[in-house]
Amino acid sequence: MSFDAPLDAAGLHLFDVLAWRLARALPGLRSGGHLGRMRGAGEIFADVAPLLAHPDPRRLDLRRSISDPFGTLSTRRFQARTDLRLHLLLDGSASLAASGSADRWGLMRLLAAGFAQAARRGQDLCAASLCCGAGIAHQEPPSRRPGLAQELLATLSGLHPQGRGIDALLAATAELPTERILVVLVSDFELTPAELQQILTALRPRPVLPIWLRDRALEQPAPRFGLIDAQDPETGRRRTQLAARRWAARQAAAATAARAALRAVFSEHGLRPVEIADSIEVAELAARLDEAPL
Amino acid sequence: MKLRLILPLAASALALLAAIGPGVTSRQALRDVLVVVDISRSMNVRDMDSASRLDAARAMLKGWIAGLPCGSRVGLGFFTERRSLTLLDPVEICTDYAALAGTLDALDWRMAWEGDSMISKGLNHALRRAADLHAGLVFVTDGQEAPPLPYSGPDALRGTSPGGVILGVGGDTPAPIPKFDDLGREVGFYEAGDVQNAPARIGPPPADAESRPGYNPRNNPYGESDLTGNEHLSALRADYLTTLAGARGMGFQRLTDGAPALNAALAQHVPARETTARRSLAPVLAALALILLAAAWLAGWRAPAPRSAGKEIWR
Amino acid sequence: MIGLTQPWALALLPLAALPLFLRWLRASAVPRLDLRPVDGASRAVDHGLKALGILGLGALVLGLAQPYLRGGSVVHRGIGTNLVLLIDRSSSMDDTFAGRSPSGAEESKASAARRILMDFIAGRPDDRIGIAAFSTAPMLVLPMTESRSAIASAVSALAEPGLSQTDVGRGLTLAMGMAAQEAATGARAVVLVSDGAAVISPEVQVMLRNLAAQQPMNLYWLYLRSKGSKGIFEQPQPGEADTPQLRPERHLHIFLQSLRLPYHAFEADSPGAVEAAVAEIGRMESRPILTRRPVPRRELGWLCYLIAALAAAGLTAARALERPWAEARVKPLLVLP
Repeated sequence: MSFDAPLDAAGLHLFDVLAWRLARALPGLRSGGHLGRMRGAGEIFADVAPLLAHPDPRRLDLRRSISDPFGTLSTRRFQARTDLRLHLLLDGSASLAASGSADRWGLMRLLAAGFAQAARRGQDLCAASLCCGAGIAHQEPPSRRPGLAQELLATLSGLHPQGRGIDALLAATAELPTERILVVLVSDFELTPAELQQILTALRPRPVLPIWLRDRALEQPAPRFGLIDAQDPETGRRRTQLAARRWAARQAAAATAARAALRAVFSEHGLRPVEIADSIEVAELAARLDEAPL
Repeated sequence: MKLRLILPLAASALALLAAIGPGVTSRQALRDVLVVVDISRSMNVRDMDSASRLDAARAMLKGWIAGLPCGSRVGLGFFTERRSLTLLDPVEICTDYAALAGTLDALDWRMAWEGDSMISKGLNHALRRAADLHAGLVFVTDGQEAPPLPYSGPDALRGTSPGGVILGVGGDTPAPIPKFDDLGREVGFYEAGDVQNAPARIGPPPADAESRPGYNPRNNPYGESDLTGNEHLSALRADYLTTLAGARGMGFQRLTDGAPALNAALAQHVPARETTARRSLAPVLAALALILLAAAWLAGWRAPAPRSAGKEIWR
Repeated sequence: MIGLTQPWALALLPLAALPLFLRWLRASAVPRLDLRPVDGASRAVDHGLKALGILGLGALVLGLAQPYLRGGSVVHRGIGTNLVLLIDRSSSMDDTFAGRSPSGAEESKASAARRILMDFIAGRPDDRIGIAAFSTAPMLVLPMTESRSAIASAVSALAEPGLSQTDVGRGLTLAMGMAAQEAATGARAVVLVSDGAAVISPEVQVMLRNLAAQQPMNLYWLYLRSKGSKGIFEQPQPGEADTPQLRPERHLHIFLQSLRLPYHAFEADSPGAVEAAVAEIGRMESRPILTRRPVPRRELGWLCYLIAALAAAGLTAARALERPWAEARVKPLLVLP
C-alpha cells in the first residue's frame, strides 16, 4: 500500500507509532511520557531513601526497613515521568526544490505533520521552525494543541523552499532551550561538512534527531548520453554538463563520497541520521527512531 | 516535434539555403554613353563656386560614373575646334573606373589643338562618333560658340542621332575668360578686343545688314557689325543649347542639377540595352534565419532563477 | 581587405550578445552544483554552446552586411616594363604607307599601327601601359594602368581619324613625364609611333634633356616611313641642305641619340616591317617587373551563411540531446509494507 499526496489528516494517524526515548533523564515537573530526573510516583524503580527524607509512607520498603539493623525506615523511590519539547528544525532552503525521484519538500511537510501528531500522542510539546536560507519563514510556538499536525501541514503547504545557506538554522538554534528538548533536524543535508559541523556544534548539548531526506535520482543521474543544463536552485548558477556513462559514474561516486563525509561529521557528534530515501516507510522510520542514539 | 527544436533547425536550413545563394533574375536597363567634354578656353571660367567649369564637370562626372550600375559602359572624349576626339571607347565602369577617372583628371585645355570652339559642329561630330560606338552622348559644354555662329545659324545634323543629353556648365552671369601664355601661365583675362565679336563674313549677310553702319552692297555687304561685343565674357547659353538639343533628339540638363537629373534625362533620350541581372535571395533568407535563431534564443528566456520554485523546473 | 556592401546591417550585431545572457538548454535543478565534480568536456560544451550561439547570430548579421574580399590587385613578379605609347594622331597617319587614302586591301598607317599594337599588348600581360597622343597639342589618353580592357579601349579609340599637325616635341615631353612619374619598380620605356617629325623648339629640347637626366628610360622610335619621304638614317648628299626644317626626321633622330638614353629607332615602310620592329621592341623590353595583377572582388556572404548554418545545426543537435539531470519520476511520499 502506498500513500500519496494530497496529504490529509487521515494519513497522519500512521505516524502515531513514532516514539522517542531519551537516554538521559530529564529535569522537569510536568508529567509526561519521558523519564524524569525527579523522583516521585512512577513504574520504574529508582532507589530507596530514608522516610524522613522522602516522606511517602505508602511506598515504605518493608523488607529493607525490617532488615535494617538501625531500624531506619526506608521508602522506595521511583523515577517520575516528565514531558519534553519536540522541536522540529526544518531546513527549507531552495535546494529542497530540486526533485528527481523524491518530492523532498512534500516529505518534509509530511514528516513535520507526522512528528507533530506523534508528539501529541506522546503528550510532548511540539514546536517547529522552518528555516529558509537566511530567514526563518515560519515559527510554530511550543504547544500541545490537538489540531497542530493538520495546521502545520496546511501552513507549510502555503510556503516554498527558498534561500541559501544555514544562517537561519543557526539563528533558530540559538533561541532553543538546552533542557527538556529533542531537536528533530529535517534537512536534505546538501551541505559541506564544515557547514554541518557548524550546525551540530550550535545544537549541542541538546539531543538531536537528524532526518536526512535523500533523492536517489539526483544522487545517481542516469547514464544516458545527453546535455544537461544544471542549475543550482540556491545560487541560480547554471552549468552545462555532458552526460555519459563515465560522467554518471563520477557524479554518483562524488555523491557517495560527500555522504560519507557528512556521516563522519555526524558520528563525531555521536549521531546517526535517519535517512529517508525517496519515500517514507513508517514502520522502518519507527524502528530507526528506536535505534537512534538520543 | 517541439517548437524549440524546429526553430533552430529551420534557421539552419535557411542559412544553408542562403549559402547556396539562390537568385531570381530580373531585367536591368543599362546605357552605354560616350562623354564628350568641351575643353575650349571658356571652360576655364571660374564661375562654378569659384571652381573652373572644367573642374566642376570633372568632379560631377566622376561622381556620376561611380553611381552608375555595374555593366554600364562609358567612353570618354573631348571637344575643341570643330570636332571631338575619342580618348577611350566605352569601357565597363566597374572594372575600369580608375582608368576613366584618370583620363578625366588629365583632361585639360592644353590638349586643344585649336582655340576655336564651334559647338554645333563639334556636337554633330560627337553624335556621329557616338552613333558609330552604339552609345548615347553626354556632351558637356557651356555653349559659347567661338567664333560666333555665321548668320546662317548652326549646321543641321546629317545622319541619325543616337540620342543623349547636353550637360550645360557655367553660370548665368557673364564672367571673364582667363588668358594663358605659351608656357601655360595665367596672364589675366581676355579683353573685348582679343576675340571675334561677330560671325565670320562668310555665307549670306544678316537681314538687317542694310541698316548697319558702313553698309555697301558690293564692298561691305555685312555692314560694320563686329566693332563691339562681349564675346570676351562667357555665360551658360542655356537657351541656345536647349535648341541644339531639341533638334537632335537630345535632352538638356544643367550640370548643377546633379547625377539623378542626368540619369533621368538619359533614360528619356537614350535607348537602353536590356540585360538580365541576377538578384540573390540570400539576404532575405539570411534575415529570416536571423529572426528565427534570435527567437529561439529569446524563447529560452525566463524569469531569472527559479529560486523560490516549489515546483520542478524541468517540464 | 574586406569591405561591406551593407555596413548598416552591423547595427544588428548586438543580437549576437544574446547567448551571453540567455541559456540555450532548459534548466534542470540540481542542488549544490558547487559541490559536484566538474569535467573538462562539460566545460567545453558549456562554452561551446555559447560560442555557437554568438557565431551563429554574428555570422548571419555579418552575412547580411554582405562582406566581400576587396578586389584590387596583388603584386606579382612578371616579365615586362612600364611602357608609355606615344602615338602620332596627325591626319597623315590615316594614309597608307604608299601615301594614299586607304582603299581595299591596303590599310592606313594608323590602322596597321593600331592592329599591331593590339597584338603586342595582348601578348604582354605584365606590362603597365600608359598611352599619350599628340598632334598640335599633346594629350594624355590613358594614365599608366594594368587594366587590359582600358588599354584595349584606348587603342581602339585610335581608329578615329586623326587631327591636323605634328608637334612631336611636346608629345615626347608628356610621354617621358608619364614614364618618369611612374613610381613602380621595373624598367621604363617610351615608344614613339609616328610617321613624321617636326622641329623641336629649343625650350622643349631643354625640357626633354632635363627629363632624360632625371630618370633613365628606354626610348624607341617606330618611324612609319611613307613612300617618297626621306629615311631617318639617310645621310644627306654632299651639297644637299641638312637643316631641321628640311629633314626633321633625321634631326629628331640625332636629337634623341644625344639624350644619352638607351635609344633605338626603327624604320618601317610596310605593316610587316612594323610587326618586325614591334617584336624586336618586345624582345628588348622583357625584363623582370613587379607589377600588379587585378584580383576580382569576391563575395564572402556565402561563407558567413555556411558558418551560421553549421552553428545553428550544432545548436539544434544540442537541443535534440538535451535531457534533465534526473527524470522526474517522483516516488510516493509514503510506502506502507
